Amino acid sequence: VSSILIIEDNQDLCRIYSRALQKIGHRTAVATTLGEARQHLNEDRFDMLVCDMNLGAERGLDLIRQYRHLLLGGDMITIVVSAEEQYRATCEALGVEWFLSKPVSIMALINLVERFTVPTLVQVK
Amino acid sequence: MNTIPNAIAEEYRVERFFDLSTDMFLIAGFDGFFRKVNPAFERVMGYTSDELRTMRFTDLLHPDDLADTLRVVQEHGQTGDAVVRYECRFRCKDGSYRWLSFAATPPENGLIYSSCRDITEQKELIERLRRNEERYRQIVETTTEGIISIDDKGRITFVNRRTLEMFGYAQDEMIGQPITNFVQPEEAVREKLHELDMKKTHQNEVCFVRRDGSEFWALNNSSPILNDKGEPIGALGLISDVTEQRRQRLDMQAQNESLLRANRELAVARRNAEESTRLKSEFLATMSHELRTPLNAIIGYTEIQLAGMTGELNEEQTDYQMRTLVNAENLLRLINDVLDLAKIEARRITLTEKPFVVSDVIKSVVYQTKVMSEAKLLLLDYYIDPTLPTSVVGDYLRIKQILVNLVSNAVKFTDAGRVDIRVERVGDKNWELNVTDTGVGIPTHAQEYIFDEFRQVDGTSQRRHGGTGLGLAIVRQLATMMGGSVRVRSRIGEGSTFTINLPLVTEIPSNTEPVSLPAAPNAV
Repeated sequence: VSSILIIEDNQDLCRIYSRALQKIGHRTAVATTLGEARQHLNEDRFDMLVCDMNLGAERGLDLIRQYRHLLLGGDMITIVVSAEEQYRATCEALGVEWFLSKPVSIMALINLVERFTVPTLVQVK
Repeated sequence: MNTIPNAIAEEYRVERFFDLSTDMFLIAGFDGFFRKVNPAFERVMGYTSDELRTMRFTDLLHPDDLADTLRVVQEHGQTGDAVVRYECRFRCKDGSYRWLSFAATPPENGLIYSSCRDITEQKELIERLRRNEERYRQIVETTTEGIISIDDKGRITFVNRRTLEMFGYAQDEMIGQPITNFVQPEEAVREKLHELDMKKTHQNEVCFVRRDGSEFWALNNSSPILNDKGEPIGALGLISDVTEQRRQRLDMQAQNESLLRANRELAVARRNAEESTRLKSEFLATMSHELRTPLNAIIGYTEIQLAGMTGELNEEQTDYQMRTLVNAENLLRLINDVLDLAKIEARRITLTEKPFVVSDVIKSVVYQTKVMSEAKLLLLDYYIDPTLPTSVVGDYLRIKQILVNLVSNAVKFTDAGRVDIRVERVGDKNWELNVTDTGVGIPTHAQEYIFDEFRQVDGTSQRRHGGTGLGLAIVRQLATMMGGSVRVRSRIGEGSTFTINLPLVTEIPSNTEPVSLPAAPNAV
């Protein structure tokens, strides 16, 4: 069981991602703002981050930048959603390797998450 | 006896004056020989009286003055006037000549009495003055500037030849006239000539009127003429014709002003355009987000229900959820196409050129479109020219977008047969991506406009096959942005081949490593 933090300003999508990931046995927390996300990250340890880049007026990139030590250190796998092309290189430099575009296919999300959380099936990068 | 001493006394007195005088006296005989000279004469000429007595008057005369002098003396003899005055040069003992001014009596008892003064220095002074004046006159007359002097009433007192040439007047038509007679009155008012203080040095431009009524502009350098006490008694103006320079200057000013105006207008237009572009971009970004967000939710909810995460669905529910999903995805595609095209047209898309592995892109395209082709029982295959470098430089996402568009189209318009992707090297500088189908084909006339926005072969085909009519427009725009081109070859009933020709770039001057595609959404 992995602990996954979902950062997405749309509550419907939070619910959808959360439901899908819980359904395959993971523990999830959701944050709709960077403030909430920081609170979660400061209080808990997460194995994985699913972070939307466009959070209303806020930018997911700012969070990635703030917690890059966790990402670069390999402590936390991050899936970035909806990164505009011009930010991809920056994300990569900050330790992000996985990108999904909207609409996020639920199956794709599940597959990607399982890639890291089920080491017997797929070798962790 | 009485008279003799008196006569002697008288002569003695005269003799005294004769000796004392600083003027020169001489008495000559009618034969021309000197009879008597006073000491002043000896002093100036350097001869002694004794020497002179052996000489004739004409021996000392300057050869040039000889004829004139003799004529005057002879004429005098005939007219019998009391005194004759003349000037001539006498040779001194040292060989030099001196100018002497003579006053002589008519011949009396065979003698001529003369007094004379040495006027050599005076003559030289006059000559120097004459030469100076000549020099100045030459300067004044040969200068290319007009020179006009006026008195304190503004009347012309002098004009040089150049001035007369400029104005076309004769000298006597200008001298004595008020200078204002020759100035264009309106321009004089405009240039505020009446405010100029003639007592000060100043420079101004004046519009003058010629004799024939035509006008010319002159640059006037004016300075006051002062009398001995330093009081101004007039002014001297140096004028040069600057009509052409003035015209050029005014033209240039006008051009500058119109350029400045045009620049200002352009700046305003650019600001407006930038503002409009900014607003358009903002609108696009907002729209793109706002339109997609609810659709993402619809697709997401449908997907988790279809995945059975919310419990088992019956057959009809599954069918309806599938239809919801397909429609939502179609709508999303439509929105994406419209926004993509809008972004391209607003120049909001930038290409990210990186080395990528060609086969990765092709495989990814096949993967993404396989579901569609399999649903229609079409064979979807690809071929990559082995002479093509494994990795090329380009924007793989956009190339993939182009291929997905073309392959989707091919599948859409093909009911039976196959769709092939061929990637080929074309010479050293290009490579081509071909998508060939065995579908309905495109009529020749339609091949001209299928790359235009919102155009399909015809309206019925759009209704039957769906789609936005934007796919090929996006393909063409993207190919053009990449420095490439798109073309189509097709015959009705025999299928079509769409070809994207791109410049072949294998290296970029950077340390970028070839990248693999990130996991395709449906992969794994």
